[in-house]
Amino acid sequence: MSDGMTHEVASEALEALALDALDASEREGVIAHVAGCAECQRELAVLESTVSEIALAATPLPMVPERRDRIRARLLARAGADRAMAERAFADVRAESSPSARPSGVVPLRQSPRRMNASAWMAMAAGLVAIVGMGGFLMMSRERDAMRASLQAVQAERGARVAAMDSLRTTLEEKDRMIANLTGAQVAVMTLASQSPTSPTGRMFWDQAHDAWTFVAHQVPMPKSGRTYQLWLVTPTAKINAGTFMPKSNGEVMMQATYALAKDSLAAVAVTDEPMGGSPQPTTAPMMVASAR
Amino acid sequence: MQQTAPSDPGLDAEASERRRIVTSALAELPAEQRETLELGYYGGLSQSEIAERTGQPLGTVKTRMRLAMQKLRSQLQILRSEGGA
Repeated sequence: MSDGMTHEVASEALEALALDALDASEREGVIAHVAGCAECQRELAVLESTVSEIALAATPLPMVPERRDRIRARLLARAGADRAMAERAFADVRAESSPSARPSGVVPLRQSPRRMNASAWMAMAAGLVAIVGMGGFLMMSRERDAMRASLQAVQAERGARVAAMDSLRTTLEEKDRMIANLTGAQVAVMTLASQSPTSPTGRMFWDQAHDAWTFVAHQVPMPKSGRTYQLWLVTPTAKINAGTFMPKSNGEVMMQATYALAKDSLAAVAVTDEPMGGSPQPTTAPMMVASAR
Repeated sequence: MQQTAPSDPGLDAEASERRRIVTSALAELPAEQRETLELGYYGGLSQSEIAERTGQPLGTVKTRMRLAMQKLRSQLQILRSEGGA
């Protein structure tokens, strides 16, 4: 909307406006100016009178569909614009007729509540544009959200793969280390015997080069409720706590520990049944024991 | 069946005179101005459409249309004053 169209520009377009030959965008600006310009309104009235005279010279012509449709469209557009112009022209009158501006005792003219003024039409048009724009925005937003979700999924998958790779690497390193702990040149192996009817068996692998201890056992029964197994490194002077363990449901045990101990100081390896959490010293007779000498 | 209003000899004469005046005024216009005016009025074309149809610059079309209307307006005033219309 060209509310800022100058009088000079608008006045030069009055002839075309009277002929209804202005392009839509320019027409709107000129009409907006005329609505507030008494001089242009007078000039336009004269020009429209002139235009109406042209019809008198018209020779009747057959109305071809193309021409009929074109003129019909222009008439409809013109009717809408004229209504808007009239609304603008009477806007001030309406304002003066408002309750606040009206002297007491004056009965206002009734206004049709169904008629929308130009501002309302423009607002509605702007609303439609906004709705269309919002539709495009929502569509773009959905596409963006979908792409973002896909990116996050890819990143999550990549993260999971990295984590899995790290886990596998760690596991592999642990296995390598365990193999080294079990098969190294300085690994001492002790077989633990049992007096239990279930006959659990176990082996202690002592990697003296790395002070690493690996205990492997089979057919170890589950301890009673509130109890656990505890591994001891027995020396001539002390029984060293090497940690507690619980067997798996299949009776398998595998635990590792690191503890520096002089080669000749180990006398035996033993496993006892202890209260949950372990004991500072063995409180029961060993269920499995192996002599280191 | 279509009905027509009864003819009024006085009104018919006035209309005939007015048609003569307008036709004369239009005839006084330069051909390019008259063409622009007719395309806008009878053809229902906008100035841009006229420019596209005739191949003339839009500014030229605007000028021709404005001059045509101004001359037509003047001619009508002159002819009316001469004919007492």
